[in-house]
Amino acid sequence: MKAKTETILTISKFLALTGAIGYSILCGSQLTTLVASFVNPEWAKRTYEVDLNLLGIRDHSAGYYFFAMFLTIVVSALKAIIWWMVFGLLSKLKLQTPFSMEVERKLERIAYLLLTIWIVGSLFWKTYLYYLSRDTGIQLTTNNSGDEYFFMAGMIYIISQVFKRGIEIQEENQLTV
Amino acid sequence: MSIIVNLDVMMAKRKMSLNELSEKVDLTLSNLSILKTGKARAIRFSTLDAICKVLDCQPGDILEFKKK
Repeated sequence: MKAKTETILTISKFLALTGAIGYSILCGSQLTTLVASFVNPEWAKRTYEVDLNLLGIRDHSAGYYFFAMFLTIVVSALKAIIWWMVFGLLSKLKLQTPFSMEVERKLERIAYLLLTIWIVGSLFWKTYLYYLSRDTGIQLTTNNSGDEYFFMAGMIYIISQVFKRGIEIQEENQLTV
Repeated sequence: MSIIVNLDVMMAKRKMSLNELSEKVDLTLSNLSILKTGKARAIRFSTLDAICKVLDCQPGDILEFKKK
């Protein structure tokens, strides 16, 4: 049973590392696109993982284009940070004494970052789309609602609180003679 | 905490070292040290029973309640 858990942990660590590298590359490519689009506006067509052609918005209003890119890059950067944190958390996790303050703090930080993704990726993005359509008449439709991040933030925050109680019980157990 | 552990007093009365007590009650030195320094959060009845047997005393001789 323990060997199975260790295998799952190793696989999870590898997946987290893959996710972290992947999102770091994504964030870097979006940043490159933004910088390159200063020189050549055609690059606005090629924003990676944004299923929208932002060239139309760039031609219409540079401010709206840069704000869309800013939101996209911030969300990608936050996702990359979360994946790196998940990798760090899985590396620190010891099966003998799983309840440690470090893991609990990391879980809490991940929950706050997920909440930030929800705020930036959902609330800010929806507000942006509203003003974009009101001021320029451009209607953008995305499948990304971002609401799942709010749910995930809540779930991970609850898990972090359960972890906190686990630490207390572990400490109490260690100090029982 | 208001519970005071007087293990060191009883050990001094019986002229027993921590090492000797540790061997006789079959408890690790670190655990006995936790108990002696008052860092322990809880004590098992089995531990208390073993200590009382070895030191020939009552639980009240080891544990004391002091109102703060």
